[in-house]
Amino acid sequence: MKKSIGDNMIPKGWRFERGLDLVKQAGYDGIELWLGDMPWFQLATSDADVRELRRKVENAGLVVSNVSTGLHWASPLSARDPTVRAQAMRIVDRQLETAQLLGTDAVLVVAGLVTEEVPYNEVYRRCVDALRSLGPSAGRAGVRIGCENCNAEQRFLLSPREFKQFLDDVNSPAVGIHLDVGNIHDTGFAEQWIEIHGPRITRIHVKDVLKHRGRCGDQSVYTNLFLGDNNWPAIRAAMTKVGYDGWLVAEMEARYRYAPDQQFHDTAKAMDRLISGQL
Amino acid sequence: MPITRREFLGGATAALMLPRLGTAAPSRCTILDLGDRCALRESLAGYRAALATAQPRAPILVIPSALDIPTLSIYRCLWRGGTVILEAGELPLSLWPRRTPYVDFTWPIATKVRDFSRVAPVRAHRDEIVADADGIPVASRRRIGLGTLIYLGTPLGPALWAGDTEAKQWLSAVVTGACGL
Repeated sequence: MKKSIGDNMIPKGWRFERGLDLVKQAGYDGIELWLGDMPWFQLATSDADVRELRRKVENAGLVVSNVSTGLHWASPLSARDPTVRAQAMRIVDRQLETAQLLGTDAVLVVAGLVTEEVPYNEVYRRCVDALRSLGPSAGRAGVRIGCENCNAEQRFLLSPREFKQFLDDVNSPAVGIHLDVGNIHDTGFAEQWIEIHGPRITRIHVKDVLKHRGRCGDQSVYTNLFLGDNNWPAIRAAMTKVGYDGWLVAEMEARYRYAPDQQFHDTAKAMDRLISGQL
Repeated sequence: MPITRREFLGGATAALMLPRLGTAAPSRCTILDLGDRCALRESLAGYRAALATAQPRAPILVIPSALDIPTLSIYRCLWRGGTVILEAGELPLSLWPRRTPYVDFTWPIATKVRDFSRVAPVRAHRDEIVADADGIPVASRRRIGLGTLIYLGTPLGPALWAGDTEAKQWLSAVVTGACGL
């Protein structure tokens, strides 16, 4: 397995090159690029500038592990407004294009967003339709779309069997799951998700979660690896069971207040322990 | 949409006085695809799926998410004693945020159907109103000539497309005329 971390973890105000140096020094093999999150990688970034990003990544001794985006929170594939959905499709198209330019074979998509206003059945149907139409172009590009499980935030596809049914309905080898083992909270156990999805897992986001430790004891909060309630030995064993040997991508939501670069080093060390199974 | 509902109703009524046009009889259940003048393609898909096997007693013409009003087609259906469901494609009023996400239909059956965020409020006589959302009239029916025009200022097609049971029941009640038009 290889280690990666998102470029959105690079401390604010740092240049891309400085961030890459930190990622490399901390021992990562690659970097996850977030389309739309950082100034160097926007929807309007030209192909030439995307190639330049790749050159910088490779010059730093890294590769791009995958292309992610948070743009679908504002422009979901499940929106009722057809113009918003069209924008959401353009975002995925650009992810696929840039993934090819950056030399990676996976993109992360937050597929749908259930709200009080837009109900589950509509979201499900629109997402299936959208991903069915995106599957062939992803396949031609040699890129897999990984739909992320953002269980609590999306209120969508809350169980692993439900997610499997969704992927069965999409029925495309180019569409799988970008599994975030920190997002499952009280809706299940990450190791069971790994078992059920196996070869459909495109990438794995790692972070830990403290269940019911929030301010009033009724919230779960994200934390660094091994500080939370995820069963890491079971997660590691499940990866072995299904033969997952791909990228582990750190997505730490709580940032160090001081010495922010230290989190890169600490997380990389923890990921080494996870990969080696010394838990 | 360059024509108001009032103008449309006036035109449709006047059209009834025109001599009968020599056109082929419409099928019993017709769903009109207005192409790029259909604002929500999923509404069209919803009606198509819901009415795939419908066998109405009288002709039915459905115009999903209409940005234009095909007056002549409407006239033909009404002239034959049929029912026209004209669904608005332009929805100027947002319902959200709101407490409950439903539109209350009172005819032909009383039921609650999921709203579609926005509506085109209806101005009609109280007896003609068949649905409201938070007290805002959003659907009406009116006898015109031999037929009945149902105007939906709240999209029903997307709910049908998403499998909404109550939306299907409402449409089924209209199509079968179970409650009488």
